[in-house]
Amino acid sequence: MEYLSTEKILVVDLGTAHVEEEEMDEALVEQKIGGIGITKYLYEKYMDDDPVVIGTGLLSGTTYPASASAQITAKSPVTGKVCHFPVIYKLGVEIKYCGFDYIVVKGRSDTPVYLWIHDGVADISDASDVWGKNVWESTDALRKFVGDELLQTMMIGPAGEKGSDYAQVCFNHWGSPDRFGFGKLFGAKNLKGFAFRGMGMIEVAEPEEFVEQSLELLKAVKENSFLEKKGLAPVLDALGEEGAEEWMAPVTHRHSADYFTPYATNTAFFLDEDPTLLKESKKDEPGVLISDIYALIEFKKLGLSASDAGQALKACAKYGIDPFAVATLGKKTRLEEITGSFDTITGTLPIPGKGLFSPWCPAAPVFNDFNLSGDDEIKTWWERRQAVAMIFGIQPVFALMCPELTEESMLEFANIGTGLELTQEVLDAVLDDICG
Amino acid sequence: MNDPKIGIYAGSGTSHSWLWFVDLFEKAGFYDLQFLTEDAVQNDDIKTLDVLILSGGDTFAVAESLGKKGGDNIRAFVENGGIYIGSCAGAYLPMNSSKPPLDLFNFVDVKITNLSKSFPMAQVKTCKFCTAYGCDYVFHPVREAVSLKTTSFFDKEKTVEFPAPLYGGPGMKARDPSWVLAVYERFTPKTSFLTTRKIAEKTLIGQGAVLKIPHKEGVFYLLGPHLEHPKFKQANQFIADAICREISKKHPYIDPAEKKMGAARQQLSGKKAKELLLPIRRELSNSRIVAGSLEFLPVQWQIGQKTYEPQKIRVYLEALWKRLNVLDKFKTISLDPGISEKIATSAGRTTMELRRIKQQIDADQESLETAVVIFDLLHALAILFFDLYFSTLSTEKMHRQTVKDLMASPPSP
Repeated sequence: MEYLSTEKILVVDLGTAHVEEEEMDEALVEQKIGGIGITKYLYEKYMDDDPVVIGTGLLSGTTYPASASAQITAKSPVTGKVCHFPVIYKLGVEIKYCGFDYIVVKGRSDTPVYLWIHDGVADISDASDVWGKNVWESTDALRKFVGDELLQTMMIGPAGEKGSDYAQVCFNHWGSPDRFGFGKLFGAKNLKGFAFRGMGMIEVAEPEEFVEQSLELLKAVKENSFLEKKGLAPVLDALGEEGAEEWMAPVTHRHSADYFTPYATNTAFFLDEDPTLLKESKKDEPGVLISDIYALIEFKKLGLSASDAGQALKACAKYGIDPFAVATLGKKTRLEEITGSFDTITGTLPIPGKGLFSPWCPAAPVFNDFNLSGDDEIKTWWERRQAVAMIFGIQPVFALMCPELTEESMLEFANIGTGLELTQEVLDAVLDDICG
Repeated sequence: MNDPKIGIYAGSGTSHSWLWFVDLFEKAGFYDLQFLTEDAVQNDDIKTLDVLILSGGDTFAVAESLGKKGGDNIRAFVENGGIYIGSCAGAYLPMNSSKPPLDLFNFVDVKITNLSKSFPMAQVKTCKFCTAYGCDYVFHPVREAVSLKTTSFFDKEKTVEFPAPLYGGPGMKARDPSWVLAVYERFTPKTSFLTTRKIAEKTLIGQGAVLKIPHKEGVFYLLGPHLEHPKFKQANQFIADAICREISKKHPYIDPAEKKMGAARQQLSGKKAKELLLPIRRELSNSRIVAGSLEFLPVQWQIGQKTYEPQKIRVYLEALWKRLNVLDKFKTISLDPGISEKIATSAGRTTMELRRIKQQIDADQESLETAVVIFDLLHALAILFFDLYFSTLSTEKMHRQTVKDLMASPPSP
């Protein structure tokens, strides 16, 4: 597979400490397209070894708008179902630039390890120095060791090491869309996580046409009036959470977008620093970057100030625990109680629909109605939209905002980029396979 | 014509510009390359070469490293028919000078036009403007692309004008005008002036930019600008043509059979070749990553007379990385036993030192000493790697030639 691909699938056996590369076969793309189409295929191929499969979308890391996402597929230790959640921020594209389209991690290591993936090399590295450390400490330690602050990590914290059902796989210093307890799965494998850094490139079959059409599409996307807004507050507002903007305002410092995503789906709070500060803070990390809309809503509902909600989210990210579970199941209303409750959370989280996709993502269209009516239609649409976003590697929240990112356009770009002839029939078949 | 045997000095005092010569020769298909440290020059490993390349860098540091023995060997090499090509610092080196250690290299009677008794007026304040040179100052009136024009001594029929970049190289006045093959003709829109245009014109325009100085059986080519810079194709061609011309005059035909690689050289292919390259890839990647992050930091190092920025580190690493990807595509890797382990170890040490310097800079600690170690390591690493790379290329080229010869030869009766 020459284009939009690194041409490689990495298979890591933690049990034997053996690393293998498989060639990325064009026929597989013609049949499964990419993203969760292929992670599901690889999961089934290696099912007996209880694999975790990480995969990039076919358009991930290109100039297609919002082509920011990669995805993780595995069997949730909480729901017992094979499910998928997106890899966001700048991390999703880094995986592709690292030289692998897909990474299968099977088996269990005898001792704690992390995987250092860089420029087409995969090293199973001793994690004894970071095992027992929280997510922030681990990320900082690896960045210092490698000598690069741009190193992207996917780590578990104490929650995952202790086998909590709500343990989350965190991205860099921040929380993630993991509502499935994949952090527990990593912990059970003695896998502290991944460090990614890649300086590779992606070849495109028709580069000029691809870029030209990307710019045209981006222009059309930018005609949406919702792009005048920024950050999480308008999303909360659109989901009916009134007064969110005023609540968040005292601590809101900035908004941040995922790779090449026209809407900033993340908001940073400054908690230990003046939020109006425009220059770089001298404090190591004065705040928290938030992408978890529902966790924020839950903390607000519990009566916390935005500052305390931010502190709670920061503590959850350090501990590597799902803040939504902490808020919903713990129901603590004071910050000290919340941060002291991580090891005692119990209960079951509601997972909507078939339980395939993370309920971290808003359960309905945002800012646009996509001409949908009725709950059933929205539910069916939502599941298909999530699947499509995670096949092509589109930021899944933005996919719920932007009608211009159609299945037809994703297929068209995939064909320009790969030189293949992927059709709607192929996509429908892949979606049938994923969603049933 | 057989491949000329070319030695490139890559020892102490050189800058990254010797890598540009590597690019040039690779594009020209000259794969019989030898990479020389100061020890190799002092041990007279150069006597079997056709061409010796001295690239840019710190002339004083190069002279210091090569010492009297190195100087004597270079003189003997040219006197016995060798072709010396010196660019920038390599052009200054063989010029007459009373200043030690440059006085060990008094081989050619050429005057530097960008030499001043007094500290000259700089238009742009930069450490790249001026260097003390004995009791005088070598100053650099311009940087970047200038236009050169060939003289009738290069070609009686026609003159050619082409651009080449100047990064501190000399303007030259030759005792014998017939030595001048090209002069500085004009400045270009890309020329950057470090002094006034008037001083720059007076210093350079019409002065020698490329000199060819016969010396007994051999010849010195002195290049003021970096004609080897990879972005200047015509200038590159000038060097390749000069070598071809000199070699065709000099060489009797050598049977390729005599030039075959040593029997001890290993040939590895398939999975074994891939496994052999993996540790090199791993460590080069680790080095590239930390070197990339150094480029965000406001730091530079003064080593000898030269200023080094972190960007220079990646020039070395990228030169190796791009060729590693080429090696990956070869069916067979040809190498001396043990060389791949040496490359991986050397790259591993480079990573370690790069990580050390990153931590030193982050902690506001002095990092010059580590920088010196790093640039030495990069030279050593590049030398080892290019040995593997060009031995593979040479073997491949010979293999193709053998197949071609076999196809061309008539069947035995």
